[in-house]
Amino acid sequence: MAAEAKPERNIKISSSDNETFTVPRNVIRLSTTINTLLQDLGLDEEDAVNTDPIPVQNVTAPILKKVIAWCTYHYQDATPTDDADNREKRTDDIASWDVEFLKVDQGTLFELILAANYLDIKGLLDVTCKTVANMIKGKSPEEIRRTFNIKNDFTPEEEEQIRKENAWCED
Amino acid sequence: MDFNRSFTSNLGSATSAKSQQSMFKALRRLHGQNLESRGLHDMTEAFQSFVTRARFFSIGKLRRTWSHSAAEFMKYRRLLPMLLADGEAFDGGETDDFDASIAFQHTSRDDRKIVVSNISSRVTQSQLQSFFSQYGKVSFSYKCALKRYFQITSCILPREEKKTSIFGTLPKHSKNCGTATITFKKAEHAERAKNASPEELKFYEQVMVVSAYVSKKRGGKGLVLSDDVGSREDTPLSRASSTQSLASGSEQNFNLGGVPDKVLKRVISFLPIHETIRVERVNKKFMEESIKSWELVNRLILARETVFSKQRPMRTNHLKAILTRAGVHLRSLDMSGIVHLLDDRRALKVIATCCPNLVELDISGTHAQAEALEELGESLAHLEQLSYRGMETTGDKAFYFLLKNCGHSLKFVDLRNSKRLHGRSFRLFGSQLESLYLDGSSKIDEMAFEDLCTSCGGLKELRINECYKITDENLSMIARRMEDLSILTLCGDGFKNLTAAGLIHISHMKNITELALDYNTLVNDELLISVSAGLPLLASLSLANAGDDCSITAEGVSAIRNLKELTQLDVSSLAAVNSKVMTQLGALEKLEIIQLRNCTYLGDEGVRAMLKIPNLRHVDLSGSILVSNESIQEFIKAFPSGPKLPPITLVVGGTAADASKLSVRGSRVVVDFSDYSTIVAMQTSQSSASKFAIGSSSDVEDCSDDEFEALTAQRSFYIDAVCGEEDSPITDNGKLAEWAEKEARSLGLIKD
Repeated sequence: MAAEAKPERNIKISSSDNETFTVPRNVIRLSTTINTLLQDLGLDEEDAVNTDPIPVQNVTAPILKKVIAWCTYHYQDATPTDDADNREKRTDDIASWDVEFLKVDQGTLFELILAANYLDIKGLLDVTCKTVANMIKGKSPEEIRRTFNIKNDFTPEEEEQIRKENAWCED
Repeated sequence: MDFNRSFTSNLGSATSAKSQQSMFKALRRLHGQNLESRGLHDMTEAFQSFVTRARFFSIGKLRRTWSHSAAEFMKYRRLLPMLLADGEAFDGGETDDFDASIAFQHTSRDDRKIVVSNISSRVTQSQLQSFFSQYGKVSFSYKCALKRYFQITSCILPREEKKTSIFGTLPKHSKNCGTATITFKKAEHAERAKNASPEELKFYEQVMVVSAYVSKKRGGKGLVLSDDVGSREDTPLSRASSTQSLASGSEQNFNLGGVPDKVLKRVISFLPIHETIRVERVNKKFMEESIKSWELVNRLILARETVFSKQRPMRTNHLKAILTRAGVHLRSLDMSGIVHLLDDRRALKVIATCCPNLVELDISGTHAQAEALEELGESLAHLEQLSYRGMETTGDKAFYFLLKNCGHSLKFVDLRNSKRLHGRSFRLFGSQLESLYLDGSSKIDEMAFEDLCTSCGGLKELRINECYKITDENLSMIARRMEDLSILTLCGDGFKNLTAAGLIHISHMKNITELALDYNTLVNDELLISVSAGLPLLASLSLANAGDDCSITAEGVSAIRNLKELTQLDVSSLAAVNSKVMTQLGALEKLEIIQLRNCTYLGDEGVRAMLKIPNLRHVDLSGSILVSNESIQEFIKAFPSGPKLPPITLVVGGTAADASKLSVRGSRVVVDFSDYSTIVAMQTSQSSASKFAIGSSSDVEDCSDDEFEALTAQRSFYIDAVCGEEDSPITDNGKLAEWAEKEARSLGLIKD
C-alpha cells in the first residue's frame, strides 16, 4: 500500500513542562484528540512542515513518556470497536503487558487516567479504568469513602433510604 | 469374586509361564485395590476374556484381525488401569499431599494457585498444563482444571461451548472461556509463573495474564490496596495483593474523587452488577455516575454475576432493580444458567417493559405461561436472536405465543432440547431467519419441516441432530427450497423415517460448506461418493462413528479426496480409515483440522501422508492405537518452527506414542498426550452434572480432575499394553489366521 510505503512521518509533541517528544504518526494516531487535531489543521499533508511541536497541556513529561510507551506497544492492535458494541462488565481481560505496565504508584495511575482521558486514547482509558475498578471491587461504600477520601454528601436519612432499596447488593 | 474365577479359567488355557506370572501379579493387585467398590464387577464377560487375550497376543496383530473385541477393549480400557497399571494412580503419597493441602493448608494452597486469563480460545487444558509445567510440577492431584470460569458458561456462550447432545455438532474445538486456575506443587513455582515476562507467556499468539489466586470462598476482593484498612493486613488476601498492588509503598492516595465524571462513569461501568448498584450510596456524584454508567453496558450475561448463587438465588425484584437501570441501554441479555427463584410471569413482564431495544435475548430456564411469553414477544420489536433452550416441559402453545409477534424478524433461533416442541409455530418464522438450532427437539415432525421449507427459504444454518421425525421427503424439500443452506447437521442414530437413499438429497444442496453426520447409521459409500461429487464448497465434514463397518468402506472415504475446499475433517471411529485411505486424503491441501480418533486401522504410513499438508493446525490421533513413535517423530520433524508460523497441535493420547522418546525441539508441533477418544461419552454426564452444579466453583475443579485422572491412567496402561514385552504365543501366521477366523465367526462378522 502506498501509505505504508512512504517513510514514517514523525510528529512532535511537547508536554506541559515543555519537554518535546518525537512520535511516529501512526503511533500517535491512537490519541483521537491529536489525530483529529492533525487532520483538522491539515498537518497530515505530506508537504506540511510542522516545526512547532503540538503542545499537550495538562500532561507532564514523565506521564507523556509512559503514554507514548503504551501507544508504541499497542499501535498495531486492531482499533477497538465503537463504544456501542458489546461492552460487557468484566475486568479480567487486561492483557499481561498492560498489567505490568500499570504496576505504578497510584499517583501515576491517576495521572495516566487523566492523560488518557484528555488525549482520548480509548484503549489506555479502558485498561486504566479496569485497573481502578479492580481496586474498588469488593469494597463497601464505607470502605470506598475511607480509602479514597470521599466525602459523603447524603444525609443519614437519604443514605438509609438508598441502603434499604439496594439491600440485596450489600454483602 | 466371579471376576477372579473367569480370569483363572482363562489362565488355564495359557501356556506361557511368563504370562501367567504377570497375570498373577495383576490379580494380586486386583485384590489389593478392592476393585469391586470401583465398579469393576460390571465388566462383561466378553471384556474379561478380552483382557486375557490382550495379554497373550500382541495388540497389533489382534487389531488387524478382530475389530469387535478391540471396540470392547476401547470401551473398557478406562477401567483397565486399576487392574494393570503400575500403581501410580493409587500412589499414597499423592493422596496424602492432596488431603493435607485441602484440609490443613488452605492458605498455602492458595499460594500455590495462579489464575491465568487471556488464554487463546484454541488452547486445551492439557496444552496449558504442559505449558505451565515449565515453571514447576503442576500438582498432580489438583491439577490444572481449565475450569469454565463459571460452570454455567456452557449456557453463556452457546455458540462456542454448549453441547446439548453427545454429537459434536458445534465447532469441534469448544472454546474455553479464557481463564484457568492452575495449582502448582510448590508455592515458589507459582511465584515463578507469576513473575514470568509477557514474552514467556505467549501462547498461541496471545499473551496470557497470570495473577494471584484469591479464594472466592473468602469473598475474593480482587486487588486490595496495601494502604487499605489495617484490619485486613494479616489475611492471605492482602498477601495475594501485595504482589500486584499498585501502590508501591507510596504515600499518595488515588484521588478517586478528583477524576473527571466521564472517567468515574467508565470505572463504575466495569464493576459487577451488584457493586455498581451498591456504590450509589457512596455520595451524590457516585450515584449519578453509577446510574449513567449503565449507558456503557449493552450486554448483560447474568450467569457471570457471582452475587447470585445457590445460597442467594436471583429473585424478581433483583431483576427489576437491574433492568430498570440497565434495560434501556441493553442490546443483549442472557438469562440462561442463573440460579433463580423468579416469578416467571413477572420477570418476563419486567424484561418486556424495561428492555425495548434488545436485539439478543436468551431466556432459557424461565418457565412461563403463554400469556407472558406473548407479551414479551410483542414488546421486543428489534429482536433478532432468540434462545429458549432446554425447555423440556414447554409445549407448542407457549412457543407459538412467544414467536407470534417477533418470529417474523428473527435471524437466529435456538430451541435446542425442547422435547415437547412439535413445531407448529415454525410457520411464524420469516425469510429473515438464517440460523435455526433444533438439536434434541425430537418431537419436531414432518409438517414442521414443511413449514420451515415454505416460510424460511433463506435459512443458512440448520442443526437438526436427533430430530428423528424428519423424512426423506423433508430432506428432498430442504434441498430444493433452501438454496442458501450452508450448514447442515444431521447427527444421531435414530432417524426412523429416513433412508440411505433419502440422505442422498444432501448431495444436491450445492452451497453446503459444513456437514455433520456423526453417528448417523444411514451414511454409506454411495452417499460419500455423491457428496464428494456434488458439494464442491464443502469445507467441513464430520463423519465420526457414522455408518457401520460394512456400509462405509475405503472406497467411500477415499472419495473425500475430491473435496478440494475441505479444511476440517472428522473421520473418527471409522473402520475404513486406514493408511492407504489417508495417503489419498493427503491430497487435500487445505486441511487444517483432522480428527482421527479411534481410527484403529490407521498406521504410521497414514500419519506420514499428512506431512505434506501445509496448513495443518490440529491433528487428533487419540485412540488410534497402531500409530507409533516413529511416524509421530517424523510428523514433529516435518513442521519446523519458524517466525509467523502457527503452532500445530498433535494429540497422541491412546496411541503407541512414548512421551519420553519424543523430541520436539525446533518444531512447531505441540504434542498433546491427552486422549479425547472417550470424551464423547463423558460429555453427556458432564453436562448433566454442570446443570446442577451452578454456584459452587469447587465442584467443577473436582470433576475435571477425575476426568484427567481417568485419561492419564488409561494412557499409561495402554502404552504398557502395546509396548509390553510379552510375545504372542502364536508365532505361526497360519495359526493366527485360523484363530482370527474362529473369533470373527463367533462374533458373527463372517457368515458361514
